Amino acid sequence: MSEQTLDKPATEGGTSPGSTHGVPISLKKLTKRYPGTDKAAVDAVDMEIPAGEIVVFVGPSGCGKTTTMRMINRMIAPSDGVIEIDGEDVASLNDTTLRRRIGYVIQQIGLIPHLTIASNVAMVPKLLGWDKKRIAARVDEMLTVVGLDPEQYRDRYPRQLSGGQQQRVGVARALAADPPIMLMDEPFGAVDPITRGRLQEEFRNLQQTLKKTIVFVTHDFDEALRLGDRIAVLREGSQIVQYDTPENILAAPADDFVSGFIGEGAALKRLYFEPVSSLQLEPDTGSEADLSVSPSDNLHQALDLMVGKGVSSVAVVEAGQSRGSISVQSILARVGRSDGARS
Amino acid sequence: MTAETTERPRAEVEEEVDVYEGTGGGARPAARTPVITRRDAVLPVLLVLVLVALYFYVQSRTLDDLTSNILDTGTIVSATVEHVYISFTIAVLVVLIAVPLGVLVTRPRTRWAAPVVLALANFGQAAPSLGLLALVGIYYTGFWAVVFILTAYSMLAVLRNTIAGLQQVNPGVLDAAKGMGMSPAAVLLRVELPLAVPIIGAGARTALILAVATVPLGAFLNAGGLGQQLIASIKTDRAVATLAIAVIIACLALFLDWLAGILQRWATPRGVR
Repeated sequence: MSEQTLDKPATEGGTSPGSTHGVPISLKKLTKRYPGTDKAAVDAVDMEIPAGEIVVFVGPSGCGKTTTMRMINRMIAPSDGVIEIDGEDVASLNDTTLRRRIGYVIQQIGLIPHLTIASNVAMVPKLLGWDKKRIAARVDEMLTVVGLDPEQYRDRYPRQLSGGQQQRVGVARALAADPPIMLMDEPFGAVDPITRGRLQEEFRNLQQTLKKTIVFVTHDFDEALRLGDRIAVLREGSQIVQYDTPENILAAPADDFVSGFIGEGAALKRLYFEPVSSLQLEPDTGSEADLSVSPSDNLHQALDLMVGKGVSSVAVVEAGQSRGSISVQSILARVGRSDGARS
Repeated sequence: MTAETTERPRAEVEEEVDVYEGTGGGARPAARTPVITRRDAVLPVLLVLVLVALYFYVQSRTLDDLTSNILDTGTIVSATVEHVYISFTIAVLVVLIAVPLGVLVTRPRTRWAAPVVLALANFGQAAPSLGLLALVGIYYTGFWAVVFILTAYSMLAVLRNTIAGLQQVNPGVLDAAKGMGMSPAAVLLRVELPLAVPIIGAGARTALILAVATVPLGAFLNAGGLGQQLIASIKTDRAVATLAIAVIIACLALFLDWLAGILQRWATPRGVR
């Protein structure tokens, strides 16, 4: 049965994005030992990655996060341990079959320079033997999904695109055969900060419809906060220090290593995860008529707006209807309360 | 400064950007680079001029029987054809042997063979070609003997370039190709080799030119080609004939290099041209 779920993208695929949702992955005592070293690069890692979530591996360089990720599609052969995808031990599959079922996006992007954008995106479907018509339709669909006009970009070569555009193609290529799982190794690491922010946001939105199981590796904790449904903070030997939702990690870092990784401003970062609607609204004073936030905005946005405009409260407006207002004091009280709750 | 003067340039800048808004910026429209450009016409024209000048120079001299015998048009044309034929045979053989060898020594499993293969190729080039010709000439003569020696001699150029060409392929591209589930053979044939074509091609060009330039030595082993005429004119001390044959060989080498250059460009995939 699990074999069938994995087979789905290979034989049927989809005509709409995200027709194959994610499947769970579990790592059991996963280990990588390189010859000639005493310490294992990845030391008996146990981890459950739930279906349809983005799990971000974050940790200092050399902690083994990339090695752990690359063992999932066996770009690195595990020394020991078991990887199960949707309950099936992947050791039973051969390397190429396994990899064709897993989307793969890397920092270097790795578009094939002598092939057009369309051929690059068509790569895995072609390897899986889809017919030409279906591939062409899928290529256009995928380019549209990642925000590139197929008419304009289909026949170009990778070097004619900017870094940000190339990584969009990289994502389109990984999604082309509609795999249930995606592995992403610092995919937005090589683009400028502005493009990176935009790509992160679009990717986050895309995932809400795709619901793939995504293993995302980064050393940037803010990126982990922005994208992760769950974050695994790793240290040397790929040891899991803390594995939890971003909110919980911010609210209660497991130890000094995690706090160190969160860096400055943990309290402020936490405001990202609290919607305006989570606060008791005060009656609208109507003083600053131009400024408003919506209940679905987060408290960080609200505070930023108030600090930026030098006001102490803003109106909360939903669909043109005033719902009340929030003040700096109420946000401060909120932060103070959860801090108090922790200690 | 008034607001007016600062306002203008800003508006202009705003007009320029945002053409590719929302896509990360920096896109350039696809440019088609043709295989043959106008600049390619320069060399053949030059060579024709040189050969025409040579023709009139030779015509202007009074030639003795021996010289006009050496410079007989029919003989020269057939010798040139022979010369080209030998050179191409060598170049083709070199590519057929050196490219697979280069692939072999860059595969993880057979990488151990690299020092051995390179040492052999180095030996082939370092050994004096005239000495090798003399040595082999004791036992064998003719077309294949010369082809054999000069193939060994030109091997290194293509072997080295094949190795360099395969090694310069971006590791990220290989990682992605493998990670998408391409088999090692598919990665080699559809990614690595196409991307190495410009560099392998440059090696093959060098090998061809080496062959054209050394085939005259093959005349000692009766391999044919323009070497026959060159040696005859040197032996009989006929300066005009020597000059004429030397110029023809030089022109031939330049022309074949030109042709190979175009071939190389044609074989290079569009996206990397």
